Amino acid sequence: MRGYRGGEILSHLLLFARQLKERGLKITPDRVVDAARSLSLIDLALRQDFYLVLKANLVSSLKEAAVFDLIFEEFWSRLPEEESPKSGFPRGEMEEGEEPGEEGTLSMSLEWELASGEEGGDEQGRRGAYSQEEVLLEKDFSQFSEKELGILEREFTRLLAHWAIRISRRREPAARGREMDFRRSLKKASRHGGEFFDLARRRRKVKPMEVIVLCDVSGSMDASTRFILQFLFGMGRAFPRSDIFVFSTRLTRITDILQHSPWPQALAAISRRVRDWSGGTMIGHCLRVFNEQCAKRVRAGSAVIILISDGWDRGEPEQLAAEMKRIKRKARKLIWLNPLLGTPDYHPFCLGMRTALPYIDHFLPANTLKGLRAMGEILVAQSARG
Amino acid sequence: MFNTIEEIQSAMEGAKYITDRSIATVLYLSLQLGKPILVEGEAGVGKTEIAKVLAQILNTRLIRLQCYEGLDVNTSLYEWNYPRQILWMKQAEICELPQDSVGNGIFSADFLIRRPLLEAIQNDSAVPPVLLIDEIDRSDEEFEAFLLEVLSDFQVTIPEIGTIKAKHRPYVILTSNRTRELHDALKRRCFYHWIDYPSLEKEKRIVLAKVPRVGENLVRQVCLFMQKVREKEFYKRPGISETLDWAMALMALGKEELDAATVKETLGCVFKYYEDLKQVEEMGIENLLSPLTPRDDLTCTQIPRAC
Repeated sequence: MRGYRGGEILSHLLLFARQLKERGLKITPDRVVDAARSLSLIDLALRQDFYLVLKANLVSSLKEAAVFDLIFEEFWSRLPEEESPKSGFPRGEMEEGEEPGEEGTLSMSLEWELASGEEGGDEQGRRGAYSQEEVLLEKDFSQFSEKELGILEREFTRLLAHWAIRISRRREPAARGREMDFRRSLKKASRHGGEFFDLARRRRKVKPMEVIVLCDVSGSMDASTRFILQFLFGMGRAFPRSDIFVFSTRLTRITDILQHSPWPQALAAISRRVRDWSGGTMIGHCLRVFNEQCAKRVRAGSAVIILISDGWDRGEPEQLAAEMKRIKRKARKLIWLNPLLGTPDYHPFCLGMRTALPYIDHFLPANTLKGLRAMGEILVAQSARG
Repeated sequence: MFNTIEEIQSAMEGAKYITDRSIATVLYLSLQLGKPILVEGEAGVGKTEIAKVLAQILNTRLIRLQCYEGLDVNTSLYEWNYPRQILWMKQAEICELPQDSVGNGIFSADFLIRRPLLEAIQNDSAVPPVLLIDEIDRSDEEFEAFLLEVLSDFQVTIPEIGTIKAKHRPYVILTSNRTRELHDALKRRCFYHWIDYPSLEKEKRIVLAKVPRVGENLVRQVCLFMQKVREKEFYKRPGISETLDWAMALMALGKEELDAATVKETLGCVFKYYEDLKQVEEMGIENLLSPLTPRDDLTCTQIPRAC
């Protein structure tokens, strides 16, 4: 890079790294140290190499790469004209002959790196026994009183705690496991002088299940949205590996909100983020966005996908069918929760619902506890089969 | 060993891996600083190939660890050969061998099954091997944590034998298809490189390098077709491996240029999902082909021949 003297580049690098960090890149002191060491290996006059070296060191995903490119352009084309980096870095220590990778200087200047704390602690759901539950089992959520809402919340938490498991390919010791465990058998045998009195066994380990929820928050869903969101909130807590989206005309991911803030704040944050509350419904379009952008990360057959919607759709039925088919292929099980299904004389006659039905594994009511419990049973059955 | 970025780049082109400066730069840094590389990109853009080519140009072994969910220490690092140990113990009992020879015997290297990570660490060759950890995103978090430990020290402890430390650290390349986000701690220990779909010019050079006997006109048409197709939304956009498959298939069929019928017959080389095939047919193969036919051989003559 023209315009920089030998020792000067390091302080600019630190400033640059700090800017990247402020924009959300995962910069750590050791990465910056490595970047400095890398720079000592190349010819700084070649701007392209300079760019590539910093990028390889400081970026860790495609998304970060885009941010990096932006800031790189801005930062390194502007700096040479400026007097000196305006910062509290000890300039005197950066003498010309100094090794760029000297850790002492860097770790001092980089204390700000370590300031970033852990994300908010996880609030453990309280379990409570509840006797009135049977009465409430078939009651429509929209008819619940304020007092009953608290009960509902507890019930959700309780339901969810049971579901969040799945069998994995890892093994754990088990007295009645199906597989032989040679390592432990041998260890046991050595206790009896090498005689195999009892054989150790093992079985597949239980792991949290992956769940993806896509919830309709359009106008037609208004009556049940609140309870469903509450349920989703519980879901986010109970399934650490869940991914939760809401949609009406566009798809919005709310997993992070649900997992990191308490309920009232979460509700406020969701309404700030979701800009299409109570709008029309474009199920097909939103599913397409999901398939294009999010579903590729999901291994086929690894996640249970839950759709919550009444099926009133303003989009093209062909698109909905095509996208349902794609989701179906990804999902371990595809569950559709419909808030209208709980009402006694409901028949799925609206076009959207009729289009989607052939692709659904389970069609359940979303507005009663009974429906949610049925869903729980399906999830549990999934984990038992492995 | 390579002393400049240019040397690596030309060595890679010599090994028929056509690349730009960015990959060569990352490899150069990795060789110099001994830090692993994390390579991400869509399927079929040549992520795994990087490791193979690196092993080839360094003239060393490639050790490959294919990841999957549930991959654990015993299948990636080492395992004792338990059935063999048990048989040996029984045999020793019948033959009444002395006790200590049995004890030392069954926990010796003969009974150790060396898995890829141990192979990579315990090497005596002059040039360290290339360790390819393929599709790391398929493994689970537990394995990632374990890998982190191995990658930071390059030493493992087997209780019965002792600690084994790498004399020369292997060159490590990790690949990921981004089916899930990797842990930050792992990313931090690696150089990051994203491989994009190639530009038209680059793709032509790749095809010419890998399928040398194919006609230039066909290469131009195939690559233009691929570039055009990649602009559209598909369930799975075709990568370079599809381009190469297709070019080879067309050559095997003795075709010298693309026409709608040929494309239709061989489209299975390019698209692997029924929906995608149908979508291409709906878009009209003729429409995709139309800009390829006018004979402006400008682009064609400019193709730099691969060495």
